[in-house]
Amino acid sequence: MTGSNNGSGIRIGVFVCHCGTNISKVVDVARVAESAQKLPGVVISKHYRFMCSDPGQEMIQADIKENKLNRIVVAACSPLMHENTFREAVEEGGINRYFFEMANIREQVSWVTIDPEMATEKATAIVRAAVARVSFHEPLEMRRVPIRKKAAVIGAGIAGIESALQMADAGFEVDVIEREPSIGGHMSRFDKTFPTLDCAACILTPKMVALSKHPNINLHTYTEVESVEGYVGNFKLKIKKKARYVDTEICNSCGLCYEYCPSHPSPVERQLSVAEKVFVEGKHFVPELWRRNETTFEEVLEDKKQGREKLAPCTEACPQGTPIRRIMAAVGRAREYGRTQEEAFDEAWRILTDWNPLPAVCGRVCPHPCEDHCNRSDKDEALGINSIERFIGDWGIDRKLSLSKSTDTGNGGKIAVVGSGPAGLNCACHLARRGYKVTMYEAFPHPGGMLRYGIPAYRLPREVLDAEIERILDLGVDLCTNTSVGKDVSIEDLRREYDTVFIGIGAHRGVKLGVPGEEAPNVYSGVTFLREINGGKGLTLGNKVVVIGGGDTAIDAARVARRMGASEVAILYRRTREEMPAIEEEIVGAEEEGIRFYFLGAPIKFILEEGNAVAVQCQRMKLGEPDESGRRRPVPVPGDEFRLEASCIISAVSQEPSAEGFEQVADDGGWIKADEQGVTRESKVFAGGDVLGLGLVTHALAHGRKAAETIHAQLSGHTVDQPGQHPVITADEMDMAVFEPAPRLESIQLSVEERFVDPWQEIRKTFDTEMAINEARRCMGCGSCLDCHLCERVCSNLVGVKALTVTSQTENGVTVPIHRITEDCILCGACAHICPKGIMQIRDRYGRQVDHAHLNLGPNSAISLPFRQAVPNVPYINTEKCIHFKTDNCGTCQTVCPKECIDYNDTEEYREIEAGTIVMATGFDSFNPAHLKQYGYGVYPNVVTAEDFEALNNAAGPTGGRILLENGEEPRSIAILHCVGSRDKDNHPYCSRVCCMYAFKFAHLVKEKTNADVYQLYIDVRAYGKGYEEFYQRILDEGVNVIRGKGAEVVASGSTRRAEGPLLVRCEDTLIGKFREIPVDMVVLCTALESRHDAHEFGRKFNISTGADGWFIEAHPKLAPVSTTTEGVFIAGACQGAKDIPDSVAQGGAAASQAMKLMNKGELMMDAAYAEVREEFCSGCKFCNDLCPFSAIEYIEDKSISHINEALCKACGTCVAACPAGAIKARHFTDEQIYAQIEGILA
Amino acid sequence: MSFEPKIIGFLCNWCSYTGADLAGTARMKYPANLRAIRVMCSGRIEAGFILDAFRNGADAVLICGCHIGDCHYSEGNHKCLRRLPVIKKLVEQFGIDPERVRLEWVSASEGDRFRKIVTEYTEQIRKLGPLTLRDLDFEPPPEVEHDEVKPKEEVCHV
Repeated sequence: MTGSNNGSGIRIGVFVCHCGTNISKVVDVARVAESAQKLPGVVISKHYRFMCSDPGQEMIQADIKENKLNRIVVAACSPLMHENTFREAVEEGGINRYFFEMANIREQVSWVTIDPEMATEKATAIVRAAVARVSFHEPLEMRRVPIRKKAAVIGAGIAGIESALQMADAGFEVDVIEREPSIGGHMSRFDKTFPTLDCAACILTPKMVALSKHPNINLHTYTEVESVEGYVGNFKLKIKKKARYVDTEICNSCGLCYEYCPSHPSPVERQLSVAEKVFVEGKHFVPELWRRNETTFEEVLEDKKQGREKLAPCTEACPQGTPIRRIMAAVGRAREYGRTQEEAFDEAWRILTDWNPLPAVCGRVCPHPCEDHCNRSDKDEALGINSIERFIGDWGIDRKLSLSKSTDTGNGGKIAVVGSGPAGLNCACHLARRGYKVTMYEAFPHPGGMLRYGIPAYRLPREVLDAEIERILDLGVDLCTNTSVGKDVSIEDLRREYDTVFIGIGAHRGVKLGVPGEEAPNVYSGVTFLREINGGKGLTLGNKVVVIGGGDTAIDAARVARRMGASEVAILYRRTREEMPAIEEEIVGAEEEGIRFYFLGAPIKFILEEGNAVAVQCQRMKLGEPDESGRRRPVPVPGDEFRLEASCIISAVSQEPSAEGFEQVADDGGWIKADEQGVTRESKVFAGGDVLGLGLVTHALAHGRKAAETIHAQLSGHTVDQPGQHPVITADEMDMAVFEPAPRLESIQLSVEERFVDPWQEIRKTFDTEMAINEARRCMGCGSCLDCHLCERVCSNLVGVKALTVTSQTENGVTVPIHRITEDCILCGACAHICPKGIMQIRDRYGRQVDHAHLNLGPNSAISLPFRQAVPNVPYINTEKCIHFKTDNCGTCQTVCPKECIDYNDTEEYREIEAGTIVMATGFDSFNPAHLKQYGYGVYPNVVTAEDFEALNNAAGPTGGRILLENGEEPRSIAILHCVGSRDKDNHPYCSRVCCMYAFKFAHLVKEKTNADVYQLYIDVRAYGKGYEEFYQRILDEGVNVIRGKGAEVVASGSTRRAEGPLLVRCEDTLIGKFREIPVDMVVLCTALESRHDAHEFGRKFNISTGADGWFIEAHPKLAPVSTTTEGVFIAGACQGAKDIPDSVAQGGAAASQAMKLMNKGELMMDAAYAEVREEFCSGCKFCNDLCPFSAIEYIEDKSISHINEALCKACGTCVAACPAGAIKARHFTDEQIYAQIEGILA
Repeated sequence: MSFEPKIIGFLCNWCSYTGADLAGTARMKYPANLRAIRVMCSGRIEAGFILDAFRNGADAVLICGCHIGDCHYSEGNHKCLRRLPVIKKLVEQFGIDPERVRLEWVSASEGDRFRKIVTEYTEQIRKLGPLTLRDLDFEPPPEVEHDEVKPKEEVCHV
């Protein structure tokens, strides 16, 4: 179609685009073109399938030439989409690029209109308007803007770091501005990254360091952007460097400041900060103010207050839970308590026998697990607790002290105790003291059980045993010896006659080896042999005795045989010396006495001559894989056998109970099952000791006491007081330098020659009084107050608030200051930090061991690092925590800093930096689920967010990467709830994209680190990335339970059953269509990613907008994902929308390349649209001057007119609309053009 | 056939025109009565445009700009907001119901909001009927009050 020229020289070409069918499906494009044809000035009007395609553009250019067109209208998509494309096509076609107008008939017509008729009419009107407007278009020249070759990156998370490094490596100078004290962003808080399980720190730290060291990068940490001025190519950023109070130039990251900072307000102590102590010139480096008085080591009694006491490790290790610390204090500190030494020993004996009526026995035979756990071994050597116990026991026997009774009158209860071994004796003792009438039945002629018939006299002299048993019988316990229950009297009779029966019959039957020849008369079992000898019978052993086994019974048997005159005694054991279960001291004793050991040998048969065994045929063994007990299993070496000659063989491999008559309570093997309290499956029948399973004397004693307490509770209708769960104090928590070094004292031992003068005499001597006192004084009283008053002094002298006082010594202790917040207390935590014994803790009201909401990756102190690998590795002071900023005192960090880099007068610093381009990589915030009451975050301590859980998993974190509940225990089951805050119309409608995958990562880590069951509650699984689906399959294979259904609610289950968790997660399992309740210990909420809380205000500084969901808006969601509507400002990473690390890195690179494209070119062609004052019309009223937000309008006094600086003008047109004289012209948006458009659209 | 009003929309380039495009991209549907004219900023809009639109047969004018605080040019929308009462007074003096001029904020991400506003406003104008200049039936109300539009004490630049 061709039309006529209207005579004014304007020759318009109209091109209507089908856009495939996007437009033509609704709009009748032919009719639109046809009606345009009739408009004035229109020379040709065409429609075509794709105007933006090459043929489309060529068509325009050809028509320009052919029809001498000088104005072009394209009716197609939005000008925001293709205006530039067509302007360039028009320019190439030979006319000015501004002789072009675009009519938007796609986004604003065909896509939004249903009725084709109305759509066509609307499109026609819009084209008409464009035609009318384009006639008034003027030729304009674009503005050339120079671009400074310097970039600014805002935010140094992984996206910002990537962007900065790319540009810096390409040779551009980059300013990196980070508001936190360290770069690294969220990624630095992660332990592992999905799906490859790369260590986040391992892959991030090198980049952080590279950034900080890069010659082209200026790093500004702890710095905020205050304001931004200028435009593309020439931005000016005003930045505010916050006061760090530490000079980053001088600091060499020695860490002394946070090591010694007394302010540690959080209840969770960080492991890394206490790991190493600093020594200067061999002296423990302590600031002057902290140096303690010449305190003598004074033990005070325990602080009984619940929850504040810490358990000493010895007491924790003792099966009986003996209060060892108190006993040591009583023995060693008589003077401090104002007691004579006799009174002190009596008191110690009294405390000890309240738990254990056989101290002299235990002091001799107990293998003392308490000493193995003594904290003192971290200083020099463990305390000789066993020797002191023996001393106290002997003291009681010598002084003929008698056991105390809680009541002198009987309470009428009648108890039968079967067996008078340690379990029975202790049970009888504790019941008799409470007023019960106890009758003890003993099958053997004398009481004591294994103590008498198992342990030889050279270890436990009979007069000692008799004295201690006698004392128990003195409480009024009746003893019926030579009475075998099950034979002489039935258990049923006892149950009828007595209120309760306690069974402590031990395990007195040797286990057979099961090898040929075992039935020979000169083959004995270990227990039988010892019983015969200890019972006073003589046996003929001959000269060559072979003992088989590696336990205490075997050693006892061998040493007894040696004492009975056997010249050659050998022990044959399947494993090696390391695996021997016998007490080390006993093995050494046996070696000293000339007993030969044959290791790695097992008997395969006994060779008999005339019915008697004469030799043991042995199989050579070697150690194989460890068995369930942890010891390496012996395996035979085929064909390697040897023979040991023997005149007597003692097989002491194991023992078992003989349960005849006890079938009611015993299982097939003769063993009886009972719980911790001795309760068996039969009512009113209790059991304890070896009959439950072979153990130590101390175990049997513990069983006896606990059973007695339970029996008493049952009969009197009380409940048993369960001891509180106290944390055990470890050596790490204590300051070892406080304690004077002192070597461990050992008791005198007979030489081997002396031992055989009287073979049954005791080998070891009891401590003398002085030794006992000196050894007891070595006790560090772990977990109790030292009375050093350091806490008081640090509070008044260093902190300067005098919030706590120490009560006098005679009152037995310190009132621990912060059990409630006093007005004076500033909760700085200095007292707890200084306490050399680590017994003070600041706790929150929940008494948490692990406070999930406050897990710091750096030290907890007021001066600290955000995390260990922080860049720059320079601490900063948190003035909210710092004592100096609260009280004007302290100043410890300044005192200890060897380089004088701490300045409390540091102030904020303002600077201006210039940049040609800006990359925004400000990241995201984590959604706070506290207002979602249904999940109980902040209510139930073990409901944690993903961020908390990351900190918990971080190897450099406060728990060292261990997943712990707030009580310090490992969880047994964890529920992971997806989509908390995401895909939720009340919070964030969008999917946060990373949660499914990090939830799976969590599941994997839980499976790797604990034995907990994991439940994943999901809506849909979105495992869309490379390797993601495979990772999902992997965690399914690892046995993670996945439940399709959003977690609806988390409630306290109210269940006290140990098998179930204290939290209940409720959900609907939509795959089986059932409501479910899952009991768990811990709940992890997969919280959404959300835009930074200040994203909107911050974005405004850069003139970039945020969408409804708060993320920064990109110029085009697909084609310009990192550009913004502000030229020269780019966005990267999660500030643009929730995304994972690979996507953030990719965007960081993309933004860098966009910025470099501009900077490399060095200039940018800018739109010619700006405003100009037509001087001839300007009256000089200055109305416009104050209107311009960019201060582009200045008043020229000489001419009395206003003038617009075109470099500053951004073409908004506000002044144009305001000018009363109409003197200001908005180029390309002139009044004429807009009026023409209005008239055209309505014509 | 029911009355189909002609409504002229003045949309700012950065927020509202983009928002209107978004409604299209998302294939939302709204009445075809609105015809948009793109300006760089709502601050560019002057009373003359509106009067000219009415003169040429528009039944209503819808002005859309960025939300307050979101303006690409910092405060152009403030200027527009302050001009509106004057514009309304002006059209009133011409015997035009000031309801026929409406100002709304639509951000670049609010395609759905744009759709709702256009639909609702079209319906409102349809009820109001076609604009007859010097309509004798029209009686100006004693005091025009609008919630968000309060004339400020500062000078209004028209």
